[in-house]
Amino acid sequence: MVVARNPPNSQIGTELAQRFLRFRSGSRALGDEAVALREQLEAVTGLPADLSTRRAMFRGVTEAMTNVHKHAYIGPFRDQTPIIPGGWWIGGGFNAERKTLRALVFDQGIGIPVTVPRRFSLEKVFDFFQGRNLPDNDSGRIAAAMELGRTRTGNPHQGRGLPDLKLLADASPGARLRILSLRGEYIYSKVGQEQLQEHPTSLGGTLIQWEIDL
Amino acid sequence: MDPQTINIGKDFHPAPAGRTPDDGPYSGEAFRKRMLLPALGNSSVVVVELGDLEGYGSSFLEEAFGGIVRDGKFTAHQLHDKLRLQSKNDPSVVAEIWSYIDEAKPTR
Repeated sequence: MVVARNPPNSQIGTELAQRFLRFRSGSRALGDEAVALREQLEAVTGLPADLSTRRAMFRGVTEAMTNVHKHAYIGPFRDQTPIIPGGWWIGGGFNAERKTLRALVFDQGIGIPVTVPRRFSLEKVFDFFQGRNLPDNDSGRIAAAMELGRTRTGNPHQGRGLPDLKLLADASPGARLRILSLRGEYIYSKVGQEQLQEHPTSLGGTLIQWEIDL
Repeated sequence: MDPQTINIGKDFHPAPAGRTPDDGPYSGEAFRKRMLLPALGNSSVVVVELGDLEGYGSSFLEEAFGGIVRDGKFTAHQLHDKLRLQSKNDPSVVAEIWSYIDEAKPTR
C-alpha cells in the first residue's frame, strides 16, 4: 500500500524557486536521521547551520521522533485512514525567493490533543485552561502540552520533549514553530508568541514545522 | 582508582537520541546502563566529555543522568562528588544535566 509518494529519482526536487527534500521515514528516535536532515537542508540552502541552530534542530527533531514513538500510536484511532503504525516522516525545503527554510516532522498518530490527559494530570490541564481563559479544544490542548511540559507537571521526569520544539523557533527572530494536530493549529515565535486556531477538519495526525528566515 | 573518562560521541554514539531502548538504539537508558553505571561503580571519579556532538534531546539527557538517581544507584550528592561533566562549547548542557540530577527522586 502506498500512503505517500516521494519525488522520483533525485534526492532533491526542484520547482521554480521552491526546493523540496525527499522525505525520510522511520519509526524510532534515530539521531543519525536528524543529522541527515540537517545536512540535506544545508545542501539546498548552500549555508552551513551555526552551532546553536544545529543543536536546536537536533533536539527538536529527535524529541519529536521520541514523542511519536512514546505517545502517537497508542490508539484508539478515530477514523479509518490507513496508517503505518509507529511511523514518522521528516523533510523540509527552501524557498529561494523568500529565503525561507522549512523543516518538518509528520506522524499519523492519535494527535497531541488526545494524549494531553494521559501525559498530564487533569487538574493541571483544567487549571491551564482556566488560567489562560482558553476553551478545551484541540489547539488549546496543544498549547497546554507545550506549557505543562515546560513547567514539568504531571509525570515529573517526562513531558519535556514538546517544549524542546520551541528552541529552534527561539534561535532567531525570523523563526517560527507551527504545530498542526487533529483540528488544532498552534504557532509560536519568539517575537509574536503564541497563536491558536481551530480548523473544520482533522489533519489525521500531527505535523510539526519550523520555518526560518535566512 | 584513577578517573575514568567517557567521551559520549566516541565511546557511545555521535548522535544519541531517545529515552529508553525501545525508543532507539542509542537512548539515554542504554548510555546509563552500558557506560555510566559501570564507570561510576569502578572509579572514584568519572569524567563525561559531552563533546562536539550535533546536540542532545532532553529525553536522552534526563534518562541518562536523572535516571541514575531515580533508579537509586547513586544519590545526587554522591554524583556531585564522583561525576565531572565537560563541554567546551556548550556550558548550558552541563547545567541542564545537573538540574536533572538534582530534581530526580529515587523510585526504588
